[in-house]
Amino acid sequence: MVVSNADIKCSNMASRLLASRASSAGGAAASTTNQTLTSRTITGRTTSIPTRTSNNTAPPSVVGTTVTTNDTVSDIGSGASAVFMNQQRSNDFILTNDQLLGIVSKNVRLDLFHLVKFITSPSELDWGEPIQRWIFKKVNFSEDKSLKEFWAKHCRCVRLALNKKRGNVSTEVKSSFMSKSIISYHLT
Amino acid sequence: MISDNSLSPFLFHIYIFEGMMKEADAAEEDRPTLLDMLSMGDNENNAYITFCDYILPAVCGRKSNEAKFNKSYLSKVASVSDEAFALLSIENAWDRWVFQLDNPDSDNIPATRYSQEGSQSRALIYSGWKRIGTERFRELQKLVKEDRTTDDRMEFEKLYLAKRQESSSKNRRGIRFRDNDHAIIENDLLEDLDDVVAVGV
Repeated sequence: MVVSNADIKCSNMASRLLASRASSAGGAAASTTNQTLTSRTITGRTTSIPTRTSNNTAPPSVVGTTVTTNDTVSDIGSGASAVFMNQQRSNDFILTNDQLLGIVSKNVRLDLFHLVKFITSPSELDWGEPIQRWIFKKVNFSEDKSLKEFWAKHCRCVRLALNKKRGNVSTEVKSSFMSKSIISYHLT
Repeated sequence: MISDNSLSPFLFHIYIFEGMMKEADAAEEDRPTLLDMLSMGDNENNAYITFCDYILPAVCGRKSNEAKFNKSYLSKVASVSDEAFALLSIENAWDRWVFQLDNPDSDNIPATRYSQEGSQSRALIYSGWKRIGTERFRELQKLVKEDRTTDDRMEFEKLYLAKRQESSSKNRRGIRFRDNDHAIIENDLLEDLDDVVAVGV
């Protein structure tokens, strides 16, 4: 395999798309982390801080009146929590092959289809042709060697995604044509 | 108006039959044809309004572009290839679909013009379309481009946008709460709020 899984890094749009998915996937862990590291104060009373080391899973209990008014974050510069946080952050920017293909095919379905309806020749999918350049620009892929190999391996997916979309649209056109409103008001 | 009593039963049946034939002819005249649709901006027989209302949104994206259709001119929302492909789709299967509408139970369905039947290798060369289908698509793209530069088309787009805006404002009026009689349904919200206050106290 030329491009290994979880090795392709890209920026901007593609990463943002995946970042939202990654953050929702790791959301539980992240929110737990925040809870364990944050001392939250409610006006008039404070809650006890469950710590990571104590593995305290019980709900925070009301302790008494309080003093502080701001949220305070404990030091995360050392230990396993820092490693975990760094991993979480870096995971946001790493895409697997499947995820990359998902982004590409989504762009084909939603945007490219409005500009290109047929790919009749394989040469239209060659590196440097307008379709490749449009897709890479759209998803902010850099044009380095690894992505060139990725494209050579997976450009066929663009054609398949386009064909599938065209088939779905044709079905939709047929159902619109056959719909009751057209039959009763216009065609009969 | 001829009274029923003044006709013998035989003549009465002829009279009714002629009436039905006249109605059928009128319906036939009103029915937009494929040629009407292909006239595009000329909007013969209001065919292109029907096309833009029903067929084009299926290609452009009905839900995603619903608001855009009410705000912008047609040519801003639908790309040239969207319009050409919508025309190609209906031209391809017009005979078949009209036949199916007229004869829902018949099995002898006419073939499509440009798309391949079945999943043989020949059908897959042009992704299910015959070569003449892709050539016709290119031709339709040119026709749409030319049509978009004509005055008739400009007039049509203005007319269509005004029509969309009018109908959308009517629809909006229809769902205002104040126009409807309210049914009062009790829910458990207040009880729940009472509980919260009690706990808080």
